[in-house]
Amino acid sequence: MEVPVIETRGLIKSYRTGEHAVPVLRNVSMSVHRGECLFLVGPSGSGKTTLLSILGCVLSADSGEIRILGHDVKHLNPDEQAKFRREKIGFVFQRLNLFDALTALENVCIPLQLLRWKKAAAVSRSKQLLDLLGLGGLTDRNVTQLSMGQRQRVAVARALAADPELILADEPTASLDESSGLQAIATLKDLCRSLGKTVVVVTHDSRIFSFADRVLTLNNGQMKPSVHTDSLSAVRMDTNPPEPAKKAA
Amino acid sequence: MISFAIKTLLSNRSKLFTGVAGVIFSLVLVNIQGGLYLGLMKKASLLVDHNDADLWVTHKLVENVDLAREIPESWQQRIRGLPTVQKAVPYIVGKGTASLNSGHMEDVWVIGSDPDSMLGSAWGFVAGSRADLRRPYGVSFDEVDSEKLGHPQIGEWLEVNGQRTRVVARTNGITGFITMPYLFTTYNTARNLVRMPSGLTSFILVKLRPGKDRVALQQLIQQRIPDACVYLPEEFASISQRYWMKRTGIGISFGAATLLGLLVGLTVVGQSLYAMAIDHLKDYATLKAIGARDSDVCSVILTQTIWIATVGTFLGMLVVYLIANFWNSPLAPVYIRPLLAAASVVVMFAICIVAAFVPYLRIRKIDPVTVLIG
Ligand SMILES: Nc1ncnc2c1ncn2[C@@H]1O[C@H](COP(=O)(O)OP(=O)(O)OP(=O)(O)O)[C@@H](O)[C@H]1O
Ligand SMILES: [Mg+2]
Repeated sequence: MEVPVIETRGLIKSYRTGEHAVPVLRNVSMSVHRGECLFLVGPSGSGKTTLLSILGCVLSADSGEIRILGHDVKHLNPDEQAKFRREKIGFVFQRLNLFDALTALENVCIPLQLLRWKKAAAVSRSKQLLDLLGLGGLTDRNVTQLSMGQRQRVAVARALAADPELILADEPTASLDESSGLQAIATLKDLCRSLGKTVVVVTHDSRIFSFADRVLTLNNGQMKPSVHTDSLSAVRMDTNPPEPAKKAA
Repeated sequence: MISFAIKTLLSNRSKLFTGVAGVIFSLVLVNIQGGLYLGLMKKASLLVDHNDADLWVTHKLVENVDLAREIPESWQQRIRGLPTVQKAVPYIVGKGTASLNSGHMEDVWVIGSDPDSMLGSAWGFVAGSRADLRRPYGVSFDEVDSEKLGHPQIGEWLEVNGQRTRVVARTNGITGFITMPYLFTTYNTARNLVRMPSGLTSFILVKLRPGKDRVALQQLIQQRIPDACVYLPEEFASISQRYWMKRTGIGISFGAATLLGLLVGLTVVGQSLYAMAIDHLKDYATLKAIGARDSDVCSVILTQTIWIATVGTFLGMLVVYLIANFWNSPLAPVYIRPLLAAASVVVMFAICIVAAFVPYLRIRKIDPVTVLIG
């Protein structure tokens, strides 16, 4: 039986503001399977980004269980978390967070440099990825001289550079117009499918829901079944992980 | 990470410029201050440094080449008798007062050398020569002191301690720590001018036979004449320098200025690195979010600071070189010693690395979660 890429049980997280602890995640349980493209939706402030940060080992939950790629990441110290992130997780940030001083190619090389790849190998892999994303001719362009859609693709290439098993994307289409948004998400999904990556996308953008294998809705810190709308009717909605993942034994 | 560090640095021209300027300023200040200090110290030992004597025999209480005390002239015979001695000659350094045509008086320092060897006599002649000093009552003066002495011309008379001397030579670059004009002449003329009591002299200068051991002879003379002090030239030079350093406290003021220069460098470089780090907090947070280690972040800042230090050092030392070579004057000589210049560069690099510490601590504190939330 295959181990889920993400498995959480009873995740609880609250933020301290002064004296008060504001609960943000209340008892979140979910599981995601290898190769799945999962969308995480919900109203603003519902805790989507907080959950994504915990899944990405950038933030720790207050309590609950969490296993990523079979590792119990709850007890990792910050150094181990960083190692886990650079080896196993690719991020596409909402504001992309490309390095403005660098070219497209150099941006994609960074995760490989963090993994101590030899320069030539890093360059050739990064070129290959940029080619795959249709940016073959723009590798030496400074990222500030690229269009939003092109920058988005550089961000995807950077997330894929270290060949991580899990890709986490926060509002990847937020800064794009409709057509480039659709194109970006289509590319992300196609690429991840063909490379066998697992993807979790946080989004508000109902136009792209149809790209999801499954949509989970977070409301007030809890997983809730989504309201079925016409645009979503084609998508399978549930809060519980699909049955085959449950431990048979 | 090196290309990330350097490209980030270059993308931030104004801060890069400030940092480099800080290093340049600091290095120039330190080296010019240090150079002026060494130049002044060199002036304090000027008469020793430009003298070919192998050993200086002095009065026990002498602390400075310019402030001599009388010793028996007869010591030279006792020294001449020693086997490795080639020559032992008396040397006068004494004070006089010149009466100028204008009616002004000017204190002068009269230096008298043995007329055969002219050991310890003037150098850097622009008019006349050492040989001219052998002429009756012949003296040389330095261009620096021309005004003090009422612009004497070659061939003119100059009265010193009520006795007539004739100006026969002019030099360039002989100016000592005591700031009084040096008049070089022969031993006997000097004796008369400074009214040296008979049988006494200021110093005895010793030349060794070629290839003989200076230190052995130094010890031997010291044994034979327990009342004397016998110095190697470098010893006497540093004694003379230390005398002025202690008496005037210039070491402290130059030291303070140098320290200030280093502090300015530390502050400016630290400030520009910090400002640069603050400008790029988002980049550092992103690096950490995608898994950069603390050491990766540290290497970025270190690369930047070393780059600033290298460029700043190169330009700074160029400025120092230009100043030392083209703005130098005998009155305020800048004396750059390669070893000290090298030390200043090492200190500068150390300071730049220290300066990188604060931005590093700031960046270490960044929580990568800020990339996603906040
Ligand atoms: N550092 C923090 N300190 C205190 N409260 C915080 C902090 N970060 C987030 N919150 C609060 O936690 C709640 C959830 O935030 P989160 O960013 O996870 O929501 P979200 O679902 O991603 O919202 P959006 O769709 O607007 O991005 C919000 O109410 C937010 O104000
Ligand atoms: Mg969010």
